Amino acid sequence: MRFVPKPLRETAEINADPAARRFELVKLMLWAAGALCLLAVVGGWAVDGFVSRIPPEREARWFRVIAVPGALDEEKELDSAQRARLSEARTLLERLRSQPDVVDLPYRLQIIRHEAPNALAFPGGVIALTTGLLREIDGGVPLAFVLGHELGHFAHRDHLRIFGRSAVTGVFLSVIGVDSGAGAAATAADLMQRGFSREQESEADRFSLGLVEALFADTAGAGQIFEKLEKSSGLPSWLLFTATHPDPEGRLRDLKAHATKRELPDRDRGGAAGSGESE
Amino acid sequence: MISDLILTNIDAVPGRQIVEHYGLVSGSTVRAKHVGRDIMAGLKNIVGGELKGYTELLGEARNEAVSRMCAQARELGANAVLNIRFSTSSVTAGAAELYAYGTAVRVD
Amino acid sequence: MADLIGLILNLGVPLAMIAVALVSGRMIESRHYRSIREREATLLRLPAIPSRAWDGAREVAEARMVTGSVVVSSDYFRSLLAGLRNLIGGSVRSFETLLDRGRREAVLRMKEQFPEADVIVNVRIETSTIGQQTASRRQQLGTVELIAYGTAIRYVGTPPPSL
Repeated sequence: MRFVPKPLRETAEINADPAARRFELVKLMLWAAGALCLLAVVGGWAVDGFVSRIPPEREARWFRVIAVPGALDEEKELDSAQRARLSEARTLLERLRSQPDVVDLPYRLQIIRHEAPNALAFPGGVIALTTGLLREIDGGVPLAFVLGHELGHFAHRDHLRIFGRSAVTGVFLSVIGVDSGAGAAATAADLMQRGFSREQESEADRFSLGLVEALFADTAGAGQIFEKLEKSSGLPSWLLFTATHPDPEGRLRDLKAHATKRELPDRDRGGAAGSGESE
Repeated sequence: MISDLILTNIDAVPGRQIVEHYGLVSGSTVRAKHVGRDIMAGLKNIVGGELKGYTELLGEARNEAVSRMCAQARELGANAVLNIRFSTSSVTAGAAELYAYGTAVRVD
Repeated sequence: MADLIGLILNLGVPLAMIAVALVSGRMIESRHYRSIREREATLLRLPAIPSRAWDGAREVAEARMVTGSVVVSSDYFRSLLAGLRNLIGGSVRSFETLLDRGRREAVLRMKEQFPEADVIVNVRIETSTIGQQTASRRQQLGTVELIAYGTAIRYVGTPPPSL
């Protein structure tokens, strides 16, 4: 058969259409961003709604055997001061949980080895205290405030929200498995679910203030934990937004404002305010 | 498959004479599956059997590749494409490339 | 502090890689396409066809197999696009360009092995993915080998092409 050489003109590039490619990335990113935002918002609502319907009894049953990773099994590693603080914490916890408004869960304390003072709430009624907390905080009102704060989280079901959101995010990310940018996606997801939101924290603070007042009839020194937090991290508060307990300085201010509004007796409010603002 | 052109995968069109040929024409496309298909396929992996979603996907891709090849053939003035061959390969996670090529000829 | 640095690294590095891949990748690609088009115009008179039929009437001076192969790799930008495509589905145009380029290059290299031939018959073009498949299937490297091979025939009596 005879060969007739003819150059391809229009269809030469049919397998590689350069014009269509130009906006492919922009289009795709917008699509993906939109879809993800929608999913995050809707998913967030769904998780919150579902989670807040879980009654405490069921939560107690499901999470009965939860153990916090890194928790100390025995108290041998604590020094005597910490051990004293711990037993005081147990007594306070018993008194606090019998207050009205406190949700009925099998509360128990676990200790985490960590330098910075901190307390965390886990599903099932586990309150984890750090060794740093046991060392730094004073007994009485400050310790009660910290415990009451965690009880506040349990009462508002905050801990379940976080648990639900992080579980759903994890499943979703592994399903879609976006190729590159997985690092960025993971960081974004991490940021979103990091700790409790500012509002949840303030609500828990207020709850705790009420509890402390009921127990001690005096809220002097309740905000001590915030002073300790800021001192131990040594960073200005605006950088701490990614920390598990955001913005201690702001919360201290909020706490004092709230106490003033409710006219709670607070003997050294003047003195504490001075030390707070000098930071 | 594609209406007006005669497509074969042998060296000739049976019963017709080849007048002249214009060389190689080819069409290719790369298709990616989407999340829905992936999930269904993942589930099907447990049960086994045909993955209809993927079959459909690759079928569409093959049609697209063949139509691109025919577009090239038509521009050259051919009315048949002979000796068509297909090639499928996976180029990146979740995407497959379909390639079809043949000789563009004019038959009487 | 560590968190902030981590954040910058996690977002900044991919963005920087995208920028580099975008700019340099596009330059390399357009230069390659120009070269491909030039060579295709030069070698237009040498057909490479999948058919096996050659002119049995004419006397054959020389016949031998010729091959051309290319290994192309996708860049970061391309992989990103493909990854995003996996969410929605559809054709991944960025890979189509890559493979089109590679294939045309492979065919040209095959023709350049024996440019004085009159026809190359029984041309086959194969694609295969090479490169490490790491444990996570999402990290496939997108390196592809394209090979074109056929039998080149030169008839007696054809004047050599004046180049």
